[in-house]
Amino acid sequence: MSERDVDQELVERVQAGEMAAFDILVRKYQHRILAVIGRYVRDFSEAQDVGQETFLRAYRAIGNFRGDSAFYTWVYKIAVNTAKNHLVAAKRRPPTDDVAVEDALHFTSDSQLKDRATPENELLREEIEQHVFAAVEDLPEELATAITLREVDGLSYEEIAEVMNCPIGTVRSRIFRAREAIERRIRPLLSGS
Amino acid sequence: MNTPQLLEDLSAMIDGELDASRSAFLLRRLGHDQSLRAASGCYHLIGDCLRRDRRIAPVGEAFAERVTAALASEPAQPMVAQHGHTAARRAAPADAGAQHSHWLRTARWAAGFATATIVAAGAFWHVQPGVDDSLPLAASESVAPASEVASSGVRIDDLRRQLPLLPVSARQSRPLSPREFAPQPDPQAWQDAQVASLHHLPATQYIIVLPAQRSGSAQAGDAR
Repeated sequence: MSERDVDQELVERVQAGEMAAFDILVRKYQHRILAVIGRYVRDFSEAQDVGQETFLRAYRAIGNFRGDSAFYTWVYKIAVNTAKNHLVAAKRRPPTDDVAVEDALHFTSDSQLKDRATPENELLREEIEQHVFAAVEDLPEELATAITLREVDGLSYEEIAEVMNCPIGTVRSRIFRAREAIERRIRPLLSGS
Repeated sequence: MNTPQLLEDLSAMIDGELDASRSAFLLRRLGHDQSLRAASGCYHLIGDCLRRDRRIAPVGEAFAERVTAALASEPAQPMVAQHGHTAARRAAPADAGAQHSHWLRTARWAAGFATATIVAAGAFWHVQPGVDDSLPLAASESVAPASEVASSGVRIDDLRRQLPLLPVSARQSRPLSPREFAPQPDPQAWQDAQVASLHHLPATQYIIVLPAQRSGSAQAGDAR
């Protein structure tokens, strides 16, 4: 199941009235959405207000979301519009060197977005990333391989089971144990951020 | 407090690898389990970091909880997806859907009743061949005029009430008369003939006439 399929299933659950599914989507994309908003609204506290408004608007409109685009693309557009409206309301000018949605969605390690992040955010992101990779290095090999195949290579549990020559249930357990171990390492950073 | 099993299910769910029933259970738990929600956020962040996603601005648990609280105070709203979206089918039934399902329930009930009536009538003839015409009707039934009572003692009014439940062709091609309901010289042969006549009808001709609900169904169809 692709990431888009996972999101679509969650969206359909929200549309069916399960608000907790929206909560998962918020937690999945909050970091990216706040990075997007941070390009328009430099103050992080203010950006969080805009971020909250973005997700509220998305929730109110999700009944009309038909899955023609990815959920993230859809929320991204809402975030950009909300941030621009916020600046207009505050009588500030939105940046002129706007990034198109289609381009921004494909930036990963590109410097263009990195340069736009606030120094504080960038420091925190780097710190968390270092802890994550240090935690993965300390994992038993089978756990490190399973989580890497899933998160980096995007393989399904069935494909990982085939690669690692083990049952799907074992894959599921290994990925969970890897996440648990990594979470214990980064939890203190998140509670302090 | 989260059990490891719940957290493992959560891990599988965010990968899209958890079956629907357990996902539904887990989502209900997520609604009132803050630590489970926090774990969900953390698992996603781990994925972003492993992919070296530069697009993220990590935020603490407080932000997501703030959004959750704001969502909780949102007024309930109908989540109506467009164009027959899957979610619309999962959603609480809209008026049209409710009417349609009510019609279906009624139709199923009526079809069951019609079948039971036919079988019961057949059984009646089978166990009481040659019912004595002179036997008195029950006191409550004695209001029916004698002319309307078949020789078997079955009231024609009762049978007429069942007409709408009979196949169209049965009603149109053979006008019913009291004599038709009377037992034949050989009750078993009569019963077999009735059943055989039903078997020769195409399934599409079994129409249950419930005018009020039919129009409701049509409206539901239009609404869709």
